[in-house]
Amino acid sequence: MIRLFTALYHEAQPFIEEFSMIRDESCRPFQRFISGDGNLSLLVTGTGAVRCAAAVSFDMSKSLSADDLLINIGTAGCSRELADEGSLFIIDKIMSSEGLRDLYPDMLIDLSGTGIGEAHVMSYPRPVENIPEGTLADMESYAFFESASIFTGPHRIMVLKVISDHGDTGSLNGNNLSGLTGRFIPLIRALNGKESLSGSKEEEISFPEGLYMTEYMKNRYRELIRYAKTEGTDVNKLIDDMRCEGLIPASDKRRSAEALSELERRIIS
Amino acid sequence: MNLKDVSSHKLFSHIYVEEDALSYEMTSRVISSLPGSCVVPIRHYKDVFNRKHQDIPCQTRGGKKLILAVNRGSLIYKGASVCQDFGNSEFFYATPAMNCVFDCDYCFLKGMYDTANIVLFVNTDDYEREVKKRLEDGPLHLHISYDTDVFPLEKISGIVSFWTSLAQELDGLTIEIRTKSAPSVFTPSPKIIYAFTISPDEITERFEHRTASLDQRLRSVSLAIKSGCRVRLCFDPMIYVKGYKEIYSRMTDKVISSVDLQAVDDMSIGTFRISGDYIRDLRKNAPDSAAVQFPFVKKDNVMRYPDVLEKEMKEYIRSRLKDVFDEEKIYEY
Ligand code: SF4
Repeated sequence: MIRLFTALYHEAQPFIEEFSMIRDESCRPFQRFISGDGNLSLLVTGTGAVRCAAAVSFDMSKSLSADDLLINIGTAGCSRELADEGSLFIIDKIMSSEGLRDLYPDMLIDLSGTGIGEAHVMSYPRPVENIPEGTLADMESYAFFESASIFTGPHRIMVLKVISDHGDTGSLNGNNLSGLTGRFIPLIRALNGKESLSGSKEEEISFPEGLYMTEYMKNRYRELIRYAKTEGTDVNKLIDDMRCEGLIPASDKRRSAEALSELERRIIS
Repeated sequence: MNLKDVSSHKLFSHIYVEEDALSYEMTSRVISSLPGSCVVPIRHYKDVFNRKHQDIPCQTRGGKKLILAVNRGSLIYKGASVCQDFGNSEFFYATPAMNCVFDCDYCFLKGMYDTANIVLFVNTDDYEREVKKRLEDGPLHLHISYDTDVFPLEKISGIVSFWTSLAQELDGLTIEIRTKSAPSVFTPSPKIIYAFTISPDEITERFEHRTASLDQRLRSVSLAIKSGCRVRLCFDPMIYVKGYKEIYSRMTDKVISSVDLQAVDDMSIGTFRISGDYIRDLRKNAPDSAAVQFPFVKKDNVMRYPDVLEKEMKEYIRSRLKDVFDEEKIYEY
């Protein structure tokens, strides 16, 4: 699932419309939206670090899967020399104006040819007029990444910024904001369902009936099954064979241990 | 919009550079060798390397990143008992880098570090000072590719050349460079040992991703021998797979027919083994790999094949090699 976070409703609006998302009423006081297929959610966090961190924690409390990708989409300012209004960036380094430790999302996707550049962002507690050269300036990235990092890894967190101003926020209105963040729609569409972003998952293993197994034996059984799978061995057939041969069910722990050793021998050889 | 993983077309899409590392010559060399890469300045390599909840398979698919740093900690370590010492009473290793460009399923680094990203230490002057200090106590046999394979980093950094020059220059220093690559440039010297891991193609293709093929490695071995280098062949780690006898037999035939074995210094044979502390992470990172999912037995906190199998595997390859090579120079681990 892709979980989007924007500071303002206007920044969220293009995604809500494009992906036909509907409001999840159970999430008041937050505005949370979800797509019909359940693959995309969007939470409006409110502006500033505290609101953003609180909203991310709230969203994470609504269950988190290892596959979920958390994306902050928002506007940022920058110096005139760095980029024009409307320029799109993926963030590779997040700094805090308070000098806290810098944060680094994993950069795992090739965006060359997409028109999306790469930049560092500095998060401030309030809007800044004189933005230092070389970095973007915003209010939420640091809090977003740091709070998301409590719950998931840097390969599952992404920060996307579109340039809205050069320190002069006076002319910004809702329409401008929607037009700006909406430029990320093609990227979100492409990310939706991209296989290689998925994290590693552990599979549940069930135990065959008719074997009395200690915890140690259960662990050994799990190891055998995982190994058999990597070698393409049909364990069910091996177990069925052992049933036909009367080795399973085993009447007690000792016979169960013998059956397990026999299964191991058949899997390995 | 069509999205690709970064790894599909670049060696390192990103180079993270410690502020303190910026002034080093190796840093400039790496950056200028990778003109298309994004350079991200960082304060300390651990800010990137040690982040929480990293996912090695994801980072590998999306392209490992390079971190250039200054090693402020230990530069040379004493080897652990599970490692190969080839008859040297003490064996030491240096850590010019942490993690590897290659991607072997069974690599202990996947159990040791929480990331796929690679740190390359650029303060070679400090390594040189430390080696000189150690040499005051007597000769030093130093492995320089213990926490990495240095050869894939040579072209961009000159790290191998640094160590081979140092070995030539300093009395008492012998270095050993272990690799699964197929280098084509060698420095012939009695003080430099090129140790090649020799694996069958079936094993390389399944478990030693991005490494050189058997043919490539053997061509490189022959070239090293022709150049007058000291060469060691390591049939280690042998990996158990069904039909391993045929697979290793074909490999041995190839080695015997293509390498002038009389010019080889020595050989090692060993089956896969790993510290019990690493196996959980290793398995988590390679859930589909038979090399690490094998139901090992634990002995003195080392995970290894059952005794009978281990003996059988080692004996099988030893019996093939001893007919063509001085058995006293075949070490077993
Ligand atoms: S070549 Fe060596 S260091 Fe590199 S991944 Fe393989 S086992 Fe690990």
